Amino acid sequence: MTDDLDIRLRTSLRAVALPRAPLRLQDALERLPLDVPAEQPRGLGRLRPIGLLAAGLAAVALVAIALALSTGPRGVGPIGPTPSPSPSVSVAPSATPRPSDATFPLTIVSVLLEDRAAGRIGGEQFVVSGFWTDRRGDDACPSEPPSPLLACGDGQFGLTDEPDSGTGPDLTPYVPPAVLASAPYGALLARLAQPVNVMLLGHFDDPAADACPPAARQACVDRFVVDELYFVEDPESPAPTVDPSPGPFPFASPPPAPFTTATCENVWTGDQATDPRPEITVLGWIASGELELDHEPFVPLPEAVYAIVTTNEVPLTLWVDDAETGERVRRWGMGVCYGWEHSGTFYGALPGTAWKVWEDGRREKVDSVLELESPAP
Amino acid sequence: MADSAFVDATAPDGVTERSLDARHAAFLELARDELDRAYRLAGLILGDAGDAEDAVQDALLRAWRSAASLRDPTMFQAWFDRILVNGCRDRVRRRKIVRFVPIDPSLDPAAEGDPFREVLARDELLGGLDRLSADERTVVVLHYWTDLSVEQISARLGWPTGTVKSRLHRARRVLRDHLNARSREVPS
Repeated sequence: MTDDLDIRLRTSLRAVALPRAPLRLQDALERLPLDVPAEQPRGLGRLRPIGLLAAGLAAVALVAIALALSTGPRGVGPIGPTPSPSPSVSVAPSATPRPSDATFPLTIVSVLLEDRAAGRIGGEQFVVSGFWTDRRGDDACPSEPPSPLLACGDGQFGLTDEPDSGTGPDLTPYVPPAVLASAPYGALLARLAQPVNVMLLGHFDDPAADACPPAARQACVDRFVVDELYFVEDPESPAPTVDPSPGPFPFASPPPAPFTTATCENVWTGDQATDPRPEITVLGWIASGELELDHEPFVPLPEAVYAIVTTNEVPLTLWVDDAETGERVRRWGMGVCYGWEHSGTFYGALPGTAWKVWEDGRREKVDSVLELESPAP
Repeated sequence: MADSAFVDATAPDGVTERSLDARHAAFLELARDELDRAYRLAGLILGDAGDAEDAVQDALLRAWRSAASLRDPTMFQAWFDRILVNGCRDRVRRRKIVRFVPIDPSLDPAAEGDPFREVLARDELLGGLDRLSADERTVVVLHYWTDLSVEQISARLGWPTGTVKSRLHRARRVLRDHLNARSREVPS
């Protein structure tokens, strides 16, 4: 029900004049490193072998458990000397990098918790399999956690042995920001209308527990920190469809034309009274590899470009002074006008069509319409 | 494997990865259109321009790293929102652990001229946003500024609808109490 507070909140928030993103942010976006490896979505078929994992894993029924003995239980109660009362910068819990060739013991929630309680599991990494689902109750994720290790970055979800989370042991791990932002987690969130079968690589005894307040120290030590999420594909889900007519461009359907024929005609420089008018063919969006130019592009081309060409030879440059002879020259050719969204428009000629033309009508074949006239040294 | 905005399922083996350049260009284009909105969203949640800038920058990098997870480019805003909002919530939680208090408040450059702090402090009601938790502030901004419904917020952040409702309810109570307290402060 809408009341005065609703109206006032909405009005106030929309009335405030908020600033635009600073130029620094725009620069940061444009400077995103090209070579940062993009994470690929994982599915069951792409999981690295982890020892006892069986294909088509159904967590409860099929797990074969091999637990490495821990080096010894960590014990109960505060670890180490009592810290000084003045807090310094705390170590934020973070995901532990996975060695490329490592294999890990596999377990389920109930066994993990039982072995942890019995002191058989320390800080080594495990893969725990279960169903990611709504947690029962709100006490596992306090709104004011005494430590980031006890926060629930993902909201209100946790791991259970059974898809029905109403009964049985459950595990509410800490999911570090890096995992929250990972591709598998993004895919997981899109499917949380019902419990989803997942496997979590993680560990107890995170070093960040040392920075927890004494009263919360044990809870921090016992918090399972997720290092990596393996998203288990639902074998019952329908097979994804493939676009039967994939195009060369990165979008499902072509974007609108980034410029018009008028844009190109403005550049083709002929004298309206005496020179031929360009006869234009719109090529539209083509794979950049199909674009024929009489010069190397000034910028790296995207996968697809929008192009317009002339089918007749027309003047493509203004009159300039020839550096060698001082005579006025210009260039003709079959023009190419190309670009992509937000790129601006680039111009050139089709290969082999460029001519250098003098005022007296002399012509000379040249390699490119963009050959620059440079003054003599 | 399902097609994504940045991966093309055309090869006989099911997946052919688009060139890095093509993915990069496509990502930049989508992100450019969202930059102002993302900065404002982060600024409203965090109440600080510097933090908002850092949060958006972090989110851009995380989003680019996770670009292959985006299946539908029309969902870019919702997908990026989730990454950004999670980052903002994490920042707010860290504030409660580490707080750098300047010895001389006048030396704290962040206190002067922060566009988000100024506009929010100017409004009697919005000044109460500081009393909300990160999650409560997030749902308030998403519900009243971006005009998302409870169900849309739930889908966008991956929270149960009951959780969204309860946080919104508590936030409204805190803000109502804040307004009532302010009205009592006004001298008669």
